[in-house]
Amino acid sequence: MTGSDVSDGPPPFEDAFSSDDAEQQIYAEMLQTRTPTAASAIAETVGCDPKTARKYLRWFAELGIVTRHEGHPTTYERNDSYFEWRRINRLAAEHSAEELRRHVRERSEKIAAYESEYDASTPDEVDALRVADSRTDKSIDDVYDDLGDWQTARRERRQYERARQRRTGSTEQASG
Amino acid sequence: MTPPTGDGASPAPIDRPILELLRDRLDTTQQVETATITDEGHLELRVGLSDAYYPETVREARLAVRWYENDDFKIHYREVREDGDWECRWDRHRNPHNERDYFHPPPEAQSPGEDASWPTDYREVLRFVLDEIEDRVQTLWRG
Repeated sequence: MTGSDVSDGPPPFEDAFSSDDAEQQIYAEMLQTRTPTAASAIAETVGCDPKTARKYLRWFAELGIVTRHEGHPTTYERNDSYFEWRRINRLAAEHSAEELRRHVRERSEKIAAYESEYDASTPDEVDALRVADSRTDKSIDDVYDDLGDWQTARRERRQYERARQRRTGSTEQASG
Repeated sequence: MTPPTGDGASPAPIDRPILELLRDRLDTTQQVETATITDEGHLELRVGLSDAYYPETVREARLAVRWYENDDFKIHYREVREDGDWECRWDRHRNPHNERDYFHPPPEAQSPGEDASWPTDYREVLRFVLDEIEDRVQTLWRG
């Protein structure tokens, strides 16, 4: 930097991902690998040696972060149940049983409100485009927001409920 | 890279692990003051941009990121200004234009701008959005 042409103003934005090493890049890549994918394809996307990719993918598979499918070639994908398990563990560690119960109740109320508003038992039953066409009070964006929030509330209710069960179970063990 | 599976037919929940990774990475940069996942209203990643990057006319600038498990997304940028808020957002989902990708310009513009073709990778999308915000910041200082 010469400083010659610098006018008033802040320095450039920093790149949030540029300092990721190969392991972090493969991890970040696997978060979005939602179908079985060969290590060579992951290596190509990340721009690392296939051997490096295989090494970390085997390690992530041992940790449970990715699912490994044996075959020719062996493929890997994100293991959703690992992230679900991790989330439930954290919730159980960070909240009391009473707080977890309250979260379950709040999500249930939210879900019931959507069920009633859209006259459907799940968001999958709702045709977003048709609803947006037939309503003047909601744009297609509003409907998508609702359906996403509804689906998220269903996911979260399940996680809070499982955390509550784990919490209650361990409390009973400890006190019994 | 997996192509997005979202066709609008099946809504997906927020992908929290992706928000967590974005939070951790954005939090390390100078331009980001705070990055938290919150569930007030919507479950989303809220990013407060550093005051140091903005002229005094901007009181606050923030970004809200929602990323879904079908790789649809909605990213909303807002500047709280003395002369009224300035906001825009970037979306990907099925819409009446039969294009999955679009950019909503600031409120004075009525229709979506040119449909851009988004990268699929969540990191690339965030880079793209941050580049646009950086351009916006430069415009603010020039103005």
